[in-house]
Amino acid sequence: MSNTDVLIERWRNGDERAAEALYNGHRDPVFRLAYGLLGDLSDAEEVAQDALTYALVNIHRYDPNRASFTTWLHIIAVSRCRDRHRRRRLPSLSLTAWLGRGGDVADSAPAPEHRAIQSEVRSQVWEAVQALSQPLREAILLRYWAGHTYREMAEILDCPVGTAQSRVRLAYQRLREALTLAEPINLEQGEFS
Amino acid sequence: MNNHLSDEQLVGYVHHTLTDAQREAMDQHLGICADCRAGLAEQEAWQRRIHHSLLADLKAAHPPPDMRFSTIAPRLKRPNGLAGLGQRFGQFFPAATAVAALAGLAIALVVLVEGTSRPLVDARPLATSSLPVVACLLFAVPVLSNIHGSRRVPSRLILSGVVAFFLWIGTAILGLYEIFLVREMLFRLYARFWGSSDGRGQDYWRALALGNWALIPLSVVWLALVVGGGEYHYKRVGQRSSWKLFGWTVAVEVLILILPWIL
Repeated sequence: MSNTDVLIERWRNGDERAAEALYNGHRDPVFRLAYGLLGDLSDAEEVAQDALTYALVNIHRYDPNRASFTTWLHIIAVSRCRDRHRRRRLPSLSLTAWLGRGGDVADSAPAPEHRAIQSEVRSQVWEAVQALSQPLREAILLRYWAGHTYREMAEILDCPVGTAQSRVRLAYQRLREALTLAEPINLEQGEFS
Repeated sequence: MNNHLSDEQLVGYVHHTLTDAQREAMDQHLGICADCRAGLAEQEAWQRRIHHSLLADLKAAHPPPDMRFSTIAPRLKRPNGLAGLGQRFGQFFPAATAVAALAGLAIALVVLVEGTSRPLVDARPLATSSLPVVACLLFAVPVLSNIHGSRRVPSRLILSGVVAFFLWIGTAILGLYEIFLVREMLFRLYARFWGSSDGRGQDYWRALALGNWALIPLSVVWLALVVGGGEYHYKRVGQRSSWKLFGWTVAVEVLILILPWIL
């Protein structure tokens, strides 16, 4: 029985310290996955908190025979990120602004501390990943960053294994094209290896 | 395999998406073809570059300091009583919450038509029908079911959007009805403390004017709440803050509905 399994069992029995340990152990990876998928620190924080809360509140739904706890958490986080994407696609009409009542009730601009971090976290690869379509971005992050197997990816993305594989290949090809256009480099020099 | 390996094949090779037979055939070809080995090395270099750069980018992103367990700890407490019952109801019957909101909306419509189609003062007592309270109770069902975030993940946004729309329209209609209710209360309060409404004399017309003038500020407040509230819910559909605002709206509407009993 792994340490995570022990913590889950203890949390199921009502030990809040176990919940805190689970939270602390998975906070950073879930936050970073959400950040990679959404490209915005404020949104990533909100989605990660929501996903972790959902997982801890609904711990009785977790079945270790179906997936690891990390995979289950990533299923929830990806689902929450998709919700956030759908929300972003809603037309951003502001009725109060239209009526001349001033500010937007949901200002989506990042906070100053977030902007400072956000400006540091930029690379050509990052920009190219953010320019990918949502399904391709999900695939490349789950494979390259989270290191999931294709079977786990299929579970998380709710698609066949072959689809997960083809999305990773396609995302990689798109990234390579974008990076070649942006900055032709000599890969043989092993600049990034 | 006489021809050179294609880009697709090389990409599949470095990403481990080939079958064992395909991989074996490619290994044989790579053993004898220097060009394809160079092509494979280039693909692997690209893969490393993307992989390492992505890892570095994400490692540089740290959760903000206020993202702590203590922030979510209160939400982990299992709700008791009515809230707990509502949460379990929402878990097992998510569609029923939409039905409850729709039923509340239908009742609110009936209440509005019935409550505003009769003269201000007639033989009947002040409008204290139980129907609007029933509508509020029905509105409370989806609010209590969702306020603790117990929805199933996949259907969350769509179902929440439908329920939130019903609630928004329903509470707005009930609010409109309550404007007339407040007007009636003002009229009766004036008539009770400062005159008599039975004689249809000067006092009656003063009371009537007071009630009618009250309609203007009440309507402005109602419009502002409907527009502002609608925008708030639109941008936070399915979120805890939206359900909380619906909860407060329903609570205030119930309070206004029971005011005639108190006064």
